[in-house]
Amino acid sequence: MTGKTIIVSAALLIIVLGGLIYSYQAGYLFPEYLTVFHAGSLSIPLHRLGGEFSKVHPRIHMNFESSGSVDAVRKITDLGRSCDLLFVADWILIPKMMYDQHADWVLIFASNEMVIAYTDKSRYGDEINSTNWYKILSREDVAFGRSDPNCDPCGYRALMVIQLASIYYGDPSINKTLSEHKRTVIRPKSVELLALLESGQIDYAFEYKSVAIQHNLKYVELPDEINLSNWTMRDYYRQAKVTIIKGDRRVLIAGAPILYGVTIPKNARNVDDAMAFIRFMLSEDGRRIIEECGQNAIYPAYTDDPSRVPSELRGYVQRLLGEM
Amino acid sequence: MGEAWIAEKSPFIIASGILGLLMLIFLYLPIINTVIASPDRMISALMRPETRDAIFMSFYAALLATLITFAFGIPLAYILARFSFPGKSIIDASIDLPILIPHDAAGIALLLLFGPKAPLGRLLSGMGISFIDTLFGVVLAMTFVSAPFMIRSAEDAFKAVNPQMENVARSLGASRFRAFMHVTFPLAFRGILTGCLLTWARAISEFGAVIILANIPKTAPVYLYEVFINEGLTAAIPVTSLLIIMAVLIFMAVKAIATRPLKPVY
Amino acid sequence: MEVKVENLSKRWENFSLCDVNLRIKDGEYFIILGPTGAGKTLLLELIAGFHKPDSGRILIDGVDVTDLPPERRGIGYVPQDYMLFPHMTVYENVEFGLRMRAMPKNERERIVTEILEFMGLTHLRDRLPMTLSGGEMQKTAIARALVLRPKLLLLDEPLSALDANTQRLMRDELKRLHEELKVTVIHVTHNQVEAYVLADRLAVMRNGRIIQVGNPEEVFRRPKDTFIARFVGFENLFNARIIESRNGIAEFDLGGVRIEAVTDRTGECIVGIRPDDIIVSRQPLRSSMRNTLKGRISDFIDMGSLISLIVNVKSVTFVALITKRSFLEMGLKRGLDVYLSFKASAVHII
Repeated sequence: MTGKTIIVSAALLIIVLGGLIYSYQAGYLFPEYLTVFHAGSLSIPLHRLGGEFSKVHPRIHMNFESSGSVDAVRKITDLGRSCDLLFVADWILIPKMMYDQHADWVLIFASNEMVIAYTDKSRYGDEINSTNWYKILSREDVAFGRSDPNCDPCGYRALMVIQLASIYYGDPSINKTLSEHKRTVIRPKSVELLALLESGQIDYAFEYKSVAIQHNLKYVELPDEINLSNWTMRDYYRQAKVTIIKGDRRVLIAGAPILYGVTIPKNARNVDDAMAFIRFMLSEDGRRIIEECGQNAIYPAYTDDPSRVPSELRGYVQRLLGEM
Repeated sequence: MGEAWIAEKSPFIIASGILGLLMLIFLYLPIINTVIASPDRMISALMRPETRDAIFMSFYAALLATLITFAFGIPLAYILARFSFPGKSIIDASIDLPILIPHDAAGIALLLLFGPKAPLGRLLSGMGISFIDTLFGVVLAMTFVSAPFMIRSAEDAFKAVNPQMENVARSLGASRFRAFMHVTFPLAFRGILTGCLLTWARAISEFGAVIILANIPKTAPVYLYEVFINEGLTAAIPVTSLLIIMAVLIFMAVKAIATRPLKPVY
Repeated sequence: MEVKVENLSKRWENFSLCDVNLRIKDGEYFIILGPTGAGKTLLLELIAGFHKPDSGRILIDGVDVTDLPPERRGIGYVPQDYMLFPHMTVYENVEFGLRMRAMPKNERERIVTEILEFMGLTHLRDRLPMTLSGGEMQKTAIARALVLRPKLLLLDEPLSALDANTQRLMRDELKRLHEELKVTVIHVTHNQVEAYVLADRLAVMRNGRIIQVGNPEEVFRRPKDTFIARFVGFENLFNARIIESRNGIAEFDLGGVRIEAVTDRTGECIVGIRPDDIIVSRQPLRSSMRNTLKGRISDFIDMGSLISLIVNVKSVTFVALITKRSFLEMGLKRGLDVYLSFKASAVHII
């Protein structure tokens, strides 16, 4: 070997080793995974949170698995799979289905609310507002959409909004007029209404606020008594009751606030990074991302029993007022 | 040869000249147009750490892919060039296959084998090596789609060295290995180096197979795509220009090495 | 070094060897003569160890080397077209074998310098092979093979790529080498002159078989069959001494027979006369041809439309080629006296 060969080989070796060290530190070689099971409606905010989180912690690779909330829980309780973070669209699922075998605590970190989404093309779109919305929807030449209550929680929540509107506005005919409106379009999932809305086949749709924001739709905000977003109104919401068909059973569902819950299941492998993620989510930056995606961030987060929350997170929580 | 084509009165020659000119314009215009579009913003694009990181990762991962191909492909090329064995003609004919299949399809094929659900992938991830969103994945994809360039170049280079040369070396007391190291390899070196550069250049610009396996670490083409999707055309132009200039530089290096007589490296 | 080849058979690419038996004595200059495609090179490469025979054995000094790789046979090898390492200088080419022996640098330098001196290559030591002439390349290739002082040297068509003049010089060089180094040489060629001039003994090969082995005199004068006759008998080759030279015409003595030829040379040389340049007649011809010799037909070989006549003139044997038709017209047969006539310019000085 000549001197030149040795120099070239040494230079190559240094480059390779240097690059490997750099890649290792950047987490490109052996990343630590943070596996997240989550409800589909949280997909967008969680991916954005994950992106920002990875910038601060490059070694951590987020692994998102999207499904329905109940399915996400069942993956742990029934299938015995492990994840580091579990996000559900209805916080009560965690105490109900996982305590005490699979999880010990729950944080309620965000809420959502029902809105009436519409576009520039919607009939009477320039008239509608938070006070006259039910009158406009009642007009015979208006078409609006909601999803199937048997298939989609957004569908029965739309019916609850209508029931609560009757109570709130003190006009029992509202319920009948809107729930039996001739030009109602029903689709299995609420997102399927978006195409109809954008193409002008319907003028309005009952949607979550987050969906309306994420798809750049205009929307009418509803009073707290109606929109299912507020924990303190939970007794009021309970007045609305919808019967849905699940399999061959009829199930009566009472109105309840739309509150998202998160926990670190007991079989989590990467608890430290999961804690870090929750702390990031509850930080100012994290909350801003949640708000930008249309959910309402709750801070300090609610919990049913602060003594059960891990000490690292206790500074971020407040007790839920009243009984569940 | 030396005649000006325009002096030809034949309509065929004139038509060929015009069509050829259109082809040339089509090939060069987009490249030149992009590069001259934004020389000032190229600097500011370079100032972004993400851009530098992506360009570095492309070069570095491609270098690893080239070294791996070198370690395994050169022996293969030597065997193919020197020995005959059953099935050799099939291997010879199909060695270019990874170049020919669509590259996203190549990525999916790799995912099916090395993905977290595949037996081999699970075995390796049990050993701590995952190919999803890691440097390993990037290098794997790059190696798969670019190795044939090196194997082909090296095989041709080895074939060009008369086996009698090795025989003489052996009659002078050199083992097969030393005959290879002292005679065949140095004589084939230029072809091998060209193969390395082709493999490297191809790996740097790989997009389809890489993005299927690994979105992270970002290589230059993946980063460019992401900038284009997230920030739009204007933001993508300076990055595009940078990548084109890089490709031109590599191309010039390949040409220089392929045509310049290389001092023997004995 | 004595080489023994026993029942050697090998098929390789388009060539094959069939049951070859040979015995080359220590210190012998042995030539394997045959037309292209006869399998000569394959035989040489088997002896060198580049292939494994399908069957048979190769013994060197009584030791079976059939399974020994070439690097452990200690044989010098000069392939056709020399195969100099193009990326090394003449010096480095010659040094190569010593480098493989991990010999100290100054020791290497001493040996290489000596060999370069011996081969007359000293002035070329730093040149790259592509800048050398054919003869210089050949000398370098031989020097490279000799550097390890092999007892056996294999030469594959060493002269065929050289021009006529260089061929003659290299031939002398090979002769000198063989005599001074006392090395056993196996030399493969398709050229009869080389075989005649250089060989102590030679073997004629055809289609992968050895068909005749003997010293040049035997093989050239007493070819075993028509193939050999046609192949080796192509030249009447003689060692000759120039007795007198005048006005460009010289008189030669071929062991008692005197002929005239066109040359300025003096002293010892080899002369060749093509058999078809010799005119055969029952009576002396009256013509301008300077050479007319009387001899007796000792044998003839029927080669189809041509007949090869073996004619003894005193103790010297000539081969002449005539058509079958004139053979029959003249009523030639064994024991008959004939006249051989040829021009002075038909005698080639080699």
